[in-house]
Amino acid sequence: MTDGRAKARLQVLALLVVLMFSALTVRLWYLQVLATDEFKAEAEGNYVRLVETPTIRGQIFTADGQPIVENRPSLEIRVQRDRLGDDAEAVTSRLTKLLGLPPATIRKAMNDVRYYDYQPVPVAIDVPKRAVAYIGEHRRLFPGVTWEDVAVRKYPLGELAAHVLGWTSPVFAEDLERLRGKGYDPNDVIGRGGLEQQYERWLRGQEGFVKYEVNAAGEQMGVLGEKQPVPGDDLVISIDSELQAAAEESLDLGMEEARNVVDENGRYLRADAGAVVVMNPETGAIEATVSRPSFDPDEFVGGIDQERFDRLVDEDRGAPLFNRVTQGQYAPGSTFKPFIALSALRNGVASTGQYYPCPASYRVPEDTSGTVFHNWSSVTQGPYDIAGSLAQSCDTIYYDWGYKFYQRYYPTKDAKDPSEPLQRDLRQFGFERSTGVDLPTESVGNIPDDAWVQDLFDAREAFSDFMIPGEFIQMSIGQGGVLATPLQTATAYSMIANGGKCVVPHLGLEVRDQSTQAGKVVKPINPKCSRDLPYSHSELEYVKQGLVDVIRSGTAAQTFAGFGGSIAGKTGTSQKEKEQDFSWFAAMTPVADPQHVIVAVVEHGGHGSETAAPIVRRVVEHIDGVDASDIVIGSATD
Amino acid sequence: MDLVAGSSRALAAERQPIRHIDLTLVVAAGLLASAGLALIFSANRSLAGLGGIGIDPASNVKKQLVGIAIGAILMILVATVDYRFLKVYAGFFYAAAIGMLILVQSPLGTNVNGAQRWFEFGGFQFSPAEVTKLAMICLLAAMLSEVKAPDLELVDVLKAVAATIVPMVLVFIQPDIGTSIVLIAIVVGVLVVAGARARHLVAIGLVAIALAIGVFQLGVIKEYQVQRLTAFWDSESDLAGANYNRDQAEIAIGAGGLTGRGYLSGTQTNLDFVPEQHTDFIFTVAGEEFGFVGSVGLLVLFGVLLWRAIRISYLSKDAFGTYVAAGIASMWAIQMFVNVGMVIGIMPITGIPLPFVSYGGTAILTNLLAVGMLENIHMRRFTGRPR
Repeated sequence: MTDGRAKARLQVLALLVVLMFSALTVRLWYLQVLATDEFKAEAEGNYVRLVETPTIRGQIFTADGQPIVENRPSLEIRVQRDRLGDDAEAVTSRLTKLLGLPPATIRKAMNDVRYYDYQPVPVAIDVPKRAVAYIGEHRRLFPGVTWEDVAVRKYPLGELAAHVLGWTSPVFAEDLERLRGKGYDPNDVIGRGGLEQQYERWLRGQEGFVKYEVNAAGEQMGVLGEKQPVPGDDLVISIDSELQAAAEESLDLGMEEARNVVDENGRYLRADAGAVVVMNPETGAIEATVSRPSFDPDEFVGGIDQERFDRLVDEDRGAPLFNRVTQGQYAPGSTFKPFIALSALRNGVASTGQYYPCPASYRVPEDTSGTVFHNWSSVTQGPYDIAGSLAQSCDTIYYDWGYKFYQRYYPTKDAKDPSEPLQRDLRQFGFERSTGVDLPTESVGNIPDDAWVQDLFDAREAFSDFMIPGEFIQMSIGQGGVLATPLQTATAYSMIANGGKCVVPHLGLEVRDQSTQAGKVVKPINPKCSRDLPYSHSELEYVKQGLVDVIRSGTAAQTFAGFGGSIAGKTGTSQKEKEQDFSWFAAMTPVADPQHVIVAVVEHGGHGSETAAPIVRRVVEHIDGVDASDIVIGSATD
Repeated sequence: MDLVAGSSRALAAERQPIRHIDLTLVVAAGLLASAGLALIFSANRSLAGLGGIGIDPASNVKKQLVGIAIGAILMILVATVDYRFLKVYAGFFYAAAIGMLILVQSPLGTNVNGAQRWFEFGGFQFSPAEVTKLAMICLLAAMLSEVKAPDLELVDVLKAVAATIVPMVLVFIQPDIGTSIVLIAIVVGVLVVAGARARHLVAIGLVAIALAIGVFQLGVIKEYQVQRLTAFWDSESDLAGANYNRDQAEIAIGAGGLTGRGYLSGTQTNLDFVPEQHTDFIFTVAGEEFGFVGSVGLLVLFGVLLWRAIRISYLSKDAFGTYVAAGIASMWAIQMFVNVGMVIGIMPITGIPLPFVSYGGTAILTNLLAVGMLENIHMRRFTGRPR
């Protein structure tokens, strides 16, 4: 009986249904055809979870096979601060109680500004298992607190060579910015300072991961894929652990003895800091490197807070973290003389056959102001040839050579082309240049020249904007504006020792793969340089002979009395206004074919022959395998 | 004789309703139910995998099969008895439904997740709200088919609305917002086909909205009741949860792409990211594992189902049949649209199952019963007709 009107009304219903289907189909078309890639990606993000597999950082071995930096397992507590919410205080006090640490320690870690809030900040290491179990059972009391079995650094040789090792720490916010794209994530550890930083690329290793399939509850349903972690490579360094120990002991003893010595003003020498470096002049391999005061690298394990770190770099405390071998810039004093002598020879300022008077004082011939430059000795000596000038360390001879270099410089000054042959020659020995040592920070020192004076003048620290005679005179005995690091000095002496070959000091010997076959060398390290020196063999041998005379009959003769080995060296006493002298000694052994160059510096250590020379003697005795003699403070000669 | 006997037999056969069964409708319903079984299996496999030791992934499939079997028997039973008896007993069905809806609120009913919706016996649950929809359709059709005027007067419309409000409120307080919406759709659908004037419907709609707002504003309903109700569809407190459900459902559908990720291979489905997946969100399984092709295929089956229902309404020999069929068509249409719409993000999240496909014994039973009613109308579209 369905009438026509009902049929028409049914069409309304049918039309509504058609509209419904249209709406649904259009939306499905959008979701499943047009936008499907987006949703597929979201679905994948849903069910695939990447879990990182930690890698293990490479170890560091000494040349004689001793592990000097190892890993040890530790249970670490970390806090992700953005998960703490309003409970930060409560969680801090709970952790304090649980871990038995001072509240300040934990609070400091939690407030460390070096990390992003979402980064897990290490709060404590070597946490007992029982504490972690407690946190695990009371998750709600510890929001944002996680724990991890981590590998931390271990130093089986204690403080030995602490200054070159560096340390590791979690990456900071600034590192994440800087190293974007290099595969660092907020959980990673990075090498800082020293070899850890320098060889980060090899030591680091690569994290692996496991791709898990997870369900909505976050439970792992299966493994989708896996990448094994690649352990970091091991680093072998040129440090000889026994020689290093001997050098450290010698410096310590030498400084200790020096503190019993009275200076010319009647005060005990402070001898509060120093450095020793031993390197192979042929290869540049650094066999020992000591800096005092020192620190315990173990302090850095588990993270070091800013306050403790500041203490390690506080100059009033001697800046223990500061590596004086590469960063200590000192006036080299008379250890500089061989290079002045060689430049004088090269430039015709001096010649081997000639003898030069050695008065007690020197005046610049044209100077009317009456400035007097004194020799270290108050009696007239000489005359000496070049070798003799080195052996007796006669300052006044060098003053005159310095003045002659000034005379060469001065006439060309106005021509705006100051020829500076002395400075050029000194730079060729590596002064005022980076030695290229494989450490992240190195000071380059200074050689006074026209540009330097102009800079000083611009900064209103100099009265003239060009070099005056006094600068050359001071430079000739390694004073004035001259600054050099112990390592630069050792490198320069190496060039005399090895017959004029340029050499790059280095600590790394080789990088070894610890994952594949044991000890496979991934990368041998032998840096080369190609700027050999323009000195003849006989010129260098002649200077070397002068250094032999230093030991035999010169300024260090008393120090080396009874010494049975073969050694050449040079004393140095660098003066600083209102401070005690710095004691220097640079040496090479054996003389015929030097295998070791040794440089020692003791700040406020008095004369070179007094403190630094006995230290070097003891190191060389260790090298020669003879019983080390007691440190006997030498005579007060230069 | 032969000829006469033959022709009288032929006439008898012509009059036999079974000859006029609508196979297309049954096949469409059967295909939807079968697809449902496959999708329920896929959706539940993950639950079993979810550390549920001893859970049979096919247990819900088996229960659903039982529902289908009972539903098929009821369908045949309902189809055999002339549907005009439904008109006679419409008032009784209605009263019985109201009675069950009241009873389910008593301790005899079971409370699941805060909703008092089910009677439970022997591992099976019976939801009176489902069958209420059919009782409602019968009552409305019976009432309105008695109106002889070509168009409905306001009083007829109001009577129909009044009859609907009683079960609607009872369902609403369970709470079951979804079924309330379906009941509204049914009454609107039947009224439209029965000739209600548009302005009446609009006026009633406006009054209903005003009343609903007033009831909440004046605090006629107690605070905790409001909370209980609102928590179900638009609660701020559960907004994150609802958004999560919707997002996961959309991801599942979208990740399916054109052809799907393969049966039992959907990660959203297998790894349980989509909630309530064997019931209200069953469409996501089809969408993820069979893609656009599968989703549209399912919609096509619904299209066939609705086309046949509307066609039966159209062909019915009397107004009662027309209205019953129109009511059933409205019921299925709104359920399909709201369910799929909420899964793909164009409708709000309400708990409405997808007819024939979603897991649920009473629902499949009710829907098969509705198929039986439609078949009944279809088969008897010639009988008793004045020639």
